[in-house]
Amino acid sequence: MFKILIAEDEQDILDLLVFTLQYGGYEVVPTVNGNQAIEQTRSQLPDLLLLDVRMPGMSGYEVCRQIKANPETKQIPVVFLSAKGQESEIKAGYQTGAIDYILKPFAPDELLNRLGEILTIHLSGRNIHQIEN
Amino acid sequence: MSYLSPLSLSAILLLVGLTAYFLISHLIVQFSRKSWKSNPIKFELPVYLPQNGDAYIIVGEGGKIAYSNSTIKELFNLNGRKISLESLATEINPKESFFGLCAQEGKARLSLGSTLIDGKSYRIPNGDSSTMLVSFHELKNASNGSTISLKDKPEKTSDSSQIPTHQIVVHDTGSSENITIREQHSRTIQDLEKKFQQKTQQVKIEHQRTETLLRILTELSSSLDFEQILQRTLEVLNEVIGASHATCMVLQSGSRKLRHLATAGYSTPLPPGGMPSALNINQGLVGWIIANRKSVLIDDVLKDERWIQLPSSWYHHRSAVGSPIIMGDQLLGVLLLYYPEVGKFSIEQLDLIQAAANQMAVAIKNAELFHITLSQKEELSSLLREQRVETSRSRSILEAIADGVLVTDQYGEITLFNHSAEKMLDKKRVEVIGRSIDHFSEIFPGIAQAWSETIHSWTQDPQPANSSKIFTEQVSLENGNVLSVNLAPVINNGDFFGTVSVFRDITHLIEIDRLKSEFVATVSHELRTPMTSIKGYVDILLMGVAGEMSEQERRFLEVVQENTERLTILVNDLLDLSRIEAGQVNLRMQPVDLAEIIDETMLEINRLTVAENKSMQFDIKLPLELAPIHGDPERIRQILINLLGNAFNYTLENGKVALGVQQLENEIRIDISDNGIGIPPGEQERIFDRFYRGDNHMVIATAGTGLGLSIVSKLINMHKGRIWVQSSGVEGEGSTFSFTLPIYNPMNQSILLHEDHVQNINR
Repeated sequence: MFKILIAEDEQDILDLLVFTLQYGGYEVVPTVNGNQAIEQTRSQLPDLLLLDVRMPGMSGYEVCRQIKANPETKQIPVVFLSAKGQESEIKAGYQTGAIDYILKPFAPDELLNRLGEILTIHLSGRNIHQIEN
Repeated sequence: MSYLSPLSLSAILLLVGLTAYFLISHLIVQFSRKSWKSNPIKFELPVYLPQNGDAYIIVGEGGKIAYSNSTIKELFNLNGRKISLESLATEINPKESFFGLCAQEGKARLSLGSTLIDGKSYRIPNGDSSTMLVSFHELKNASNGSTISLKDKPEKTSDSSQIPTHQIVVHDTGSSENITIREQHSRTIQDLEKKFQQKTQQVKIEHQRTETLLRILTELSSSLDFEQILQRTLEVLNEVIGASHATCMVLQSGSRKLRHLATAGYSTPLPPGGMPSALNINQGLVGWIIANRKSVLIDDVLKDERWIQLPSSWYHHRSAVGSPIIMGDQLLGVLLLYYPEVGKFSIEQLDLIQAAANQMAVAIKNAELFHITLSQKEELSSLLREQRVETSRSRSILEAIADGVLVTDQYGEITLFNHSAEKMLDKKRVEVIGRSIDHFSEIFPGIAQAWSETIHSWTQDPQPANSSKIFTEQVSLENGNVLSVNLAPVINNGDFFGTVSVFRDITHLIEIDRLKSEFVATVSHELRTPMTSIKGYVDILLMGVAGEMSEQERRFLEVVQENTERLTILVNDLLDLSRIEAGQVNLRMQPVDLAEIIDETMLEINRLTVAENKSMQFDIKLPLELAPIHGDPERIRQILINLLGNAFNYTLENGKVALGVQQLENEIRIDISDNGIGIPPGEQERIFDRFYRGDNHMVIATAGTGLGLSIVSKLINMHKGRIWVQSSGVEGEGSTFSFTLPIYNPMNQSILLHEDHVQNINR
């Protein structure tokens, strides 16, 4: 079972994500801010990070940067979640190392599909990596 | 010495006299009245010496003073002493005095026996400051017993001996009176006298003439009151010449008659503006003068054949003198003077009259010119007044306009800069007017170049074709304000007159716009958060995350889901549009395969038809070879989905939607037509407006925001394409939406896949 870490400050949406992902068969690690997210990522080493961009304190971008800067965690794929859809934002997001960008409001099934795709691709890569090793 | 100097005239001293030489023989004087103590000198004749202030001495033989007048006596304090010249000389002033001189001369004469020079005079200082003029004159008698006359009191004549004597005439030059000529028998004296008289007379005449001319000239130039000065001139002439009447007549163009412009001496004055003459220009004396361009001098007009005596005339002119008044080549008129007696005028006066006529000619000409200039000036004045009023009216209007106005002329100089312009550009009029457009960036630092460059290029190279050009630009100022500038050339009858720029402060408008966009963005963003929850939870409910639901529960939730979808679309569209309008949207311009995009789009449309459970026929026609278009694939997809979606939504079930693509020269044209409800012609203009959905029930019934076409048209414009609609408005005939997109041309673009940032222009 894949482990997905969520960072979202809005409680309702956090719950929504938890429900959705659990329904999709994932283990969910919910966090409510950037610091928690980083901490939990290091300790739990999830398979994917789903980060809200706009959070109080540390933004999702900053979390991503730190994750990617850490050799232990840098391989974890990051997906951003945002209400804004501006070009510049999205570009900035990708530049931090994210792999995908999902806009709110989202269709939960679509979310599951997207995440599934990413994990499949990533996983196969990792598996190959592991096989090679 | 100059004759013409009045001072010198009066300073001319006369030297007239007689030479005398010393008597060699004794003179016997029978002079009863005087008793000389010892009187070796005798005059046989009574001698009268003038008692007029001049000193007269008659010196006889031996240098003895024979006679002296009272002046001498006074001058030299003789007091009745009989004294010899010599002694007198020593007594008074040896050698230097005239007496000394006389004594010398006398002595010399005596000793040498030579004659004193007749008429020689000596200036001899007399005591303190004055000098004396001493002259020797010979008292002559006629050779044989003729008379000696002294001054003008000849007495008896001597008939025997000659009595040559010296008459020493002493003049005190301290006094500057005119010395009158002593009349003597000497022919020389008389000649001299005559000559002097003549000369004096000449000088007098000349002097008078000059003075007169001067007076006339002064009069003529003293004022520009033309008729007045002419009259005064005539009065002066009358006075000087001695005429009784004078008249100045001028020719009038277009008339056979002359006009009396000024008269003097006549009892009735001329009316202002003069009076026509009774005679024609070829009649009478006047006629002759005009015809011959010569002056006349007539002693008796009644005897002159040229004269026409008018019976009505009150005046009895007899003498006449006249001159033509000529300026250069042009004969202006005639000057005439009269006198009721014959022979009044002389040839000498003619000169003066001609000179006066010449002066008058100048004055008449000047007056003519002055009148012309005056009337021209008045005309111009009134024109100018009119213009000023007009200009000031225009100016007032310009000043009242809230927009700034800046005008440049054909040389690129700023000629107008109204009050609003001063405020908007924060520059005083004086700092701007007259400056050249070349210094635009100096005058208005920080102002956009394009504005001044356009003025510059139009000024350099004005073409009539430019008359329809208008240049619009948004100009950002240093202080952060934004102006909207409209610049147009000023063409008048094909001539380039300059440019006019009108600008408006739209800072406020832009601010409002920005706030609007910001508001929309903020709201949209804020809306998304709750909507995420609503949509999310409804979706997962329907997904069964919370478990099984009843049919009714499911249906109700589906309603909620649909409306949430609508809301989401609305919010997304709003945000999209506001970002496009705010210029916040950047297109990812690249070569795009239209066929591919159409394929992708159709997939989605098919999904829609299935979801709506509404079958529709889609007819896609693509040419085999299609050039790539230049655009943002995502946005092109958005455009196609929107238009195809509309066609689908507003066509009844089992209708037909056709999509056709044509390749034109530089662009590709896409037509999407349906056989749906159509768009009434009256609404066709407005369908691209925001939120406009028309009145058709079907449209209202369909979920839609009214933003789709607005977004689509803006996107197409950003691609530099065009969009338009054709529809009869009849239900069942449908509508055709057509739009163009540019063909990708690698020459025009920089590099493949280079992201062009297409600036969105507000409206």
